[in-house]
Amino acid sequence: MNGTGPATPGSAARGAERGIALVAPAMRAVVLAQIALNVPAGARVASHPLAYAALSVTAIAVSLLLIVQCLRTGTARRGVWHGPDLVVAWAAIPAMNLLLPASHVVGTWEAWASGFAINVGAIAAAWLRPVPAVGHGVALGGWSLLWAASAGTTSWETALGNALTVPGYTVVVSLLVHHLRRLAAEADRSRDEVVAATRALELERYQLAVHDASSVLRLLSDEDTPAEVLPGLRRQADREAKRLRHYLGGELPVSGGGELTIGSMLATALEGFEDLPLEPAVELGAHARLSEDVWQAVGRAVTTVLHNVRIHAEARQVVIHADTDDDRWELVISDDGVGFDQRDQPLGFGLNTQAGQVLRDRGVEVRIRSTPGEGTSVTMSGPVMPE
Amino acid sequence: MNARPRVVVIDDSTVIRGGFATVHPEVDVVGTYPTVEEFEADPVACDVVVLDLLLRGPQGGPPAVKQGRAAIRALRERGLPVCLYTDERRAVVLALCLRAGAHGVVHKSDPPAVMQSAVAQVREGRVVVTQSLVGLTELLDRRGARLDLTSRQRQVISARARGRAWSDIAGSLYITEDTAREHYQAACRKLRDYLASTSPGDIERAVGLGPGDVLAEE
Repeated sequence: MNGTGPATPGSAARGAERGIALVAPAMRAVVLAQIALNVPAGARVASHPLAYAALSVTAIAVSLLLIVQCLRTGTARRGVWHGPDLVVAWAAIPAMNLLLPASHVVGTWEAWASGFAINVGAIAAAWLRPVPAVGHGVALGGWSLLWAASAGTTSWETALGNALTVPGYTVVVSLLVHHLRRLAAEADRSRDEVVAATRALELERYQLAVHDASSVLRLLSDEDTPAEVLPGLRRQADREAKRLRHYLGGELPVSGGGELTIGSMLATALEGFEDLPLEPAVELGAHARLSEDVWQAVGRAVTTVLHNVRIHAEARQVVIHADTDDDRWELVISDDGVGFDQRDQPLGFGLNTQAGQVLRDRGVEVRIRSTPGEGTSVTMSGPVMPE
Repeated sequence: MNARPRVVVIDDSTVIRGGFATVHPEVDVVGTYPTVEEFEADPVACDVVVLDLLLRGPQGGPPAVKQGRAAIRALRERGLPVCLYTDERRAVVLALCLRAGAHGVVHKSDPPAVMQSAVAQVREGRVVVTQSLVGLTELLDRRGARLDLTSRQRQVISARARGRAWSDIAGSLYITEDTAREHYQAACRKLRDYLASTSPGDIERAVGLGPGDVLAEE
């Protein structure tokens, strides 16, 4: 059987199978109509009319059952009537030689076995793997050639030409079915990848939205959080709540309309972190202007870094240093806390995404350095927005 | 020179006067006073004076006791090295204190080891500054103040102003940590020398403040 992956409901693979399961019975129905039209004439010239009629009725019955099977299951791949179908095709070829006069064995629809064999070979390509299907088509064509030649009523070239039709159609259908199933599988894979990427994007968006809020909530819910930290945390919780409401409403919070500089960004971002031993040295860079989205993103990154410091660093000092040469700005946040080993400790979501990827996506360079026992330093830099 | 520096603590907080020796076992606390005036009335010999920047004086005592730069100058006139012990973090305020003669600044929130190290360094005549003063040094230098820093001193101050660790600085400048600390110490001395030779108004102007914005003369 061809195996190109599970055909789940609604998948392209399922749709392709249904298409094949419609086309195969339709092809067989055409052949059946031709057989049915010519059986009476065949019976009249057959040496054993009853045997001829019985064989024809068997072929029609098996074909009908096969058609129903395909339509009911929605696939041409599985079912109990494929085997009997092959048996009828292989048996009908010699039967035509035995039951009909030699003059009718080749080139007439009274001798329907050849036309039937072409169709059986082609449909077998829908439920056998390509190599066995083509092998079966070649064998069936050879079987047909053998009996056509033995009738002795036509040239070997004509007999060979007729016989080649069986593997020929088998190859064509096999290629078509294989290609169709591969396309469907690729479509399903692509769709799965898109779904996975969309989920990852949504997860990241969610993480971006809740990362800082989760830190604030964690500290607010912790009974061991020192009382002097609580006022700052409440202000940050209020700010996070407003931001989340904007997020739920699908709007970005606005910066407030003031001048978008490193100084104004830090004034907002540092709010509520009075419990940290902050050492701001921002005079050299406070006036550097930022675009609105960079102002927002760097502010969020600063907040995230400081949440990380508060929770993990055990820092005695947190330096916040800003500088600019009027072309580019630089902002450094360094703590002298516990640090971590960058070689074997991956960055968490906050540093990696919120203070890393989000800023890089906006053209801000980010460097993170940390050494166990010597603290962590996050350096952000980018172009100054012209006046 | 004694292994343990002899220290006088002048602080209006009873808790600090009582607990300083316990928290800092590597120094020898030879006397504690709530005001500079009381120390002047009954002085003891010491290597370093640890001075609180803001002294309220005893309750019921005179309303105006020496404090801030006046207290520093009074102690310096006696030839005593002064290490400030304060929570004041405004760089210009601390700079004016260095200008008045203080050798070092330590924050009350710093671990005891920082204070003990600072006392030892001040006794040896070194200058001990806090992070905010490192930032001020960089700011003054960038705004053209005549600190006369060498390029190496400038690099070390710039890195320290950004909070970079000594090992990181040494690695990036291809020097040893001790050499980096020497450059730093030399820059701190130059800061103090600059402050000593510059008027308060010029210092305030250099950092972008109007004269008297931060700390009027006591």
